[in-house]
Amino acid sequence: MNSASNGPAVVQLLVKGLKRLSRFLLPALLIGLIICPLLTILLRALVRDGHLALNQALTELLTSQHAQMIGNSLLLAALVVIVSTILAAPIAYFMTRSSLARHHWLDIILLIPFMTPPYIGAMGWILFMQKRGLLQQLLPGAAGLETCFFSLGGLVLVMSLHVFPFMLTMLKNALLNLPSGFEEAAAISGAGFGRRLRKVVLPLLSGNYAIGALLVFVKTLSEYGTPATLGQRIGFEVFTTDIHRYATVAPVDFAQAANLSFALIGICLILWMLQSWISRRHQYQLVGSGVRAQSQRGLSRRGTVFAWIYLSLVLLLAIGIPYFSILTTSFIKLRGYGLRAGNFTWQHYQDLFTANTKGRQALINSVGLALSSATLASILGTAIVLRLRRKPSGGRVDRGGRLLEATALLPEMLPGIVLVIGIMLFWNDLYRVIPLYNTLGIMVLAYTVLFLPYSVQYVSSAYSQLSPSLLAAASVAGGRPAYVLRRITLPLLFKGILSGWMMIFMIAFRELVTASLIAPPDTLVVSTYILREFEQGSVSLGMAMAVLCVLFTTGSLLLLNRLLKPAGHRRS
Amino acid sequence: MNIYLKAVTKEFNHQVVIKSTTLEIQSGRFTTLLGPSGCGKTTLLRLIAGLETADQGEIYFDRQCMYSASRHINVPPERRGLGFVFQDFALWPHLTVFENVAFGLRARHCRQQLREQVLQVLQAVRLEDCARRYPQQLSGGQQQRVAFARALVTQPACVLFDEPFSALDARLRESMRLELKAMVSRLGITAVLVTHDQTEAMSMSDRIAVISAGQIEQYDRPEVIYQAPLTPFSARFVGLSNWIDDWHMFRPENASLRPLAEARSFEVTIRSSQFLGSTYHISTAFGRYNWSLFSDRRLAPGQTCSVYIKPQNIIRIERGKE
Repeated sequence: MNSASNGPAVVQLLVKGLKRLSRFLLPALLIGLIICPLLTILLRALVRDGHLALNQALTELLTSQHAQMIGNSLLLAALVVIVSTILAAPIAYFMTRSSLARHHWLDIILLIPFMTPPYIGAMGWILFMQKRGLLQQLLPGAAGLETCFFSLGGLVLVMSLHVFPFMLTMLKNALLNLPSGFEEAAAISGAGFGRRLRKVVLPLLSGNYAIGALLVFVKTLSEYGTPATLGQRIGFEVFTTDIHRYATVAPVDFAQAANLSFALIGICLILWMLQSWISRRHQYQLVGSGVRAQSQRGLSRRGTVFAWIYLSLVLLLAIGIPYFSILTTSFIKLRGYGLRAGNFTWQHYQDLFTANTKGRQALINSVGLALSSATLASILGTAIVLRLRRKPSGGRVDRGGRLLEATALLPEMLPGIVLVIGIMLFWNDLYRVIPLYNTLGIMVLAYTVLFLPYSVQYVSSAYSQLSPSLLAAASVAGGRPAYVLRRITLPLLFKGILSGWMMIFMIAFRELVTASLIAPPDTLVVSTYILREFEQGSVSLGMAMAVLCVLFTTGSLLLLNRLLKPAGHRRS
Repeated sequence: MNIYLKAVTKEFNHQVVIKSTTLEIQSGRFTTLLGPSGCGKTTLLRLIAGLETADQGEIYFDRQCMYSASRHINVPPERRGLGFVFQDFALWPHLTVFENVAFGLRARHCRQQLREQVLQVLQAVRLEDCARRYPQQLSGGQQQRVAFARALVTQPACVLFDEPFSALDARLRESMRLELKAMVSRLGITAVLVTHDQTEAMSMSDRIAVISAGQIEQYDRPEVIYQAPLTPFSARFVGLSNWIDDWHMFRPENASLRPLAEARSFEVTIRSSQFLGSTYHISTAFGRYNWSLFSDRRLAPGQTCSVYIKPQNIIRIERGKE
């Protein structure tokens, strides 16, 4: 019937041997890729000159300079949580409880800020607000505003504008999952709008909100792109920029970098524990038969007008201004002449490819890295999910599996920079055995590790939508495990695997912090190219690359989405 | 409280859900809106409550206008002063039973004797011991009673029930039905019930409005609807109907398998016999129609026999064809 089940004995022996190997291979791989780098950080942070130096590590953390930086980081994260709530909460309400809910295109538009690399968004804002920047060219009266913008407030605004879609999605889903009966029952009981919001909606959302707020907090702590561009200009040091400085700027001090990384891991772990405690305590099992379509009685005409104005304003800030700045700068001939007819050109786009090989090489590097890491991470992620859900547990995850899953998901829970520092230190130590450090290979490895969680999550969710009886039916029909895997499981998981691959491709293509820490000398990728041109080269050239970067990632995303669609129809 | 709907219509996404409907629900009566799912009965109830807004027409509570499209009046649900029992109960999971019930009083700022009032109504539904529990800690029947208590605590003149028994199992449904009916009668409030269950409708109601495709087919006492259906839909939806031709039908209990004096007789073919305990349910074929009959013994499929019906038991459907 098929080659796998009727193959010669040698093949079967080989399969069996591989299976036995794979039992140890996956855990060993994850230990080597994730656990060892993290342990290296721990060792470097706490062991100095062969002695355990807890006290020393702690005193170093509490020096006034570091304490200030830690305070900065926490303050920034808290402020970003507040501002992104202000941006997201009203929109979440409008988009679930008013006629705005009918406009599904808004969902996609509102993802744009989150999909824009944060450093590109920040550069857009800098170009717009800086002295003699685009705003002041358009409105000369706005001179002086730059001092308001180049401050903690501006940093908070830009970071919130990047991260608020995340909060929005959380709140929106929570609101959608709230059976409309709760609010209707309150209305019938005589509660007006304010009271319904205060006594019913907000208490029921508090758990989801706390989770969303913590996620935003951790994301802000982990963010490098915006603090590295805008934060540097105002001298606002945070964890990520400090770690980056210790690891790259002479005199390089890996012990300090490890020490700070270790502290950052600690803070993140505490936050995640808090999050899991809240979600255990605050998830209401929603009583009743389930979710009904929300009635869109919603807002009065005045309310609807207000909703549109608010939404437009947020979109103007989150998308309009940064993209306007990036686009115009990439087309401007001479920045000194400003926005003027005749002062526009395609030259910068040509220069990217013709002026020297740097731009072309950066693009090639990024595409290569994105392709290879997306593929490797997808293979590894799929293998992990298949191992997790293997029989005989019948799709349920055993203890070893859960440990494996938790390890594979660690890179997403920890700030990227921390893991990259760990990988740097670990592979540096290992250089004599495996000379991977300072090659493109280490970049592929770091990207793969960093983005492995995406693959695991996408494949995992695809697997959980698979009815166990589909696989049982294949076995009963006589399919050996390898045959079932090839003919049933993998084809059904394909969409999930490909979605994960796409996501990784896109994020890897624009990744900044890993590339800026770990790239071999004179090796540029798209993100580091943009950053370098922005800071010391031709800003217009950098922005042309930024435009290409955004077009390329969204283009490939749309293309793959398109390709995936028919597959989805066939399946249903 | 009298509820008067005048030429009310409602569309969702250009699809007519309620065709122009006029209906008067009389004070103190138990009125049921009966119909298959998707017929618009729940929408009608939600229009009364103000949870949906009609496109045209007017809605009056006694003399007071609650909604008028032409005069731009639309009283929001929180100011209509009704009670409403939701299909899925919609008990707030973050509030205790006591606070769920007290919510309406607090919203109306009735702080005086709030505790006594809440406990009194909880006592009426026999849940005074559960006041401090959360809804999810209660059984289905208890949740149902909390939902009643919540609807009753503000002493509304009218309570609306949206399929209140559908989340309960069959046995519980029966006892809750009796309990609800008794309580509504005792308090003398106007009740409007929405259901697709004809037994529920017939056993509880003073008046039934049979609804099909957004239109009221018949509005009358349960007995009249059963014995003298006005439309083919009413005849089919309420009780079992055996059709002699497109215009004449009879109810199974009026037919006899033994000869009756002055009766018409019909030849039928037996298709199957089902034992129901007290009787056999016989499925038979009469021309292109299927008839349901009752018999005290099993009849073999394929056999033919005669059915006797007195002419006065043959109902002529006067209005329209489906």
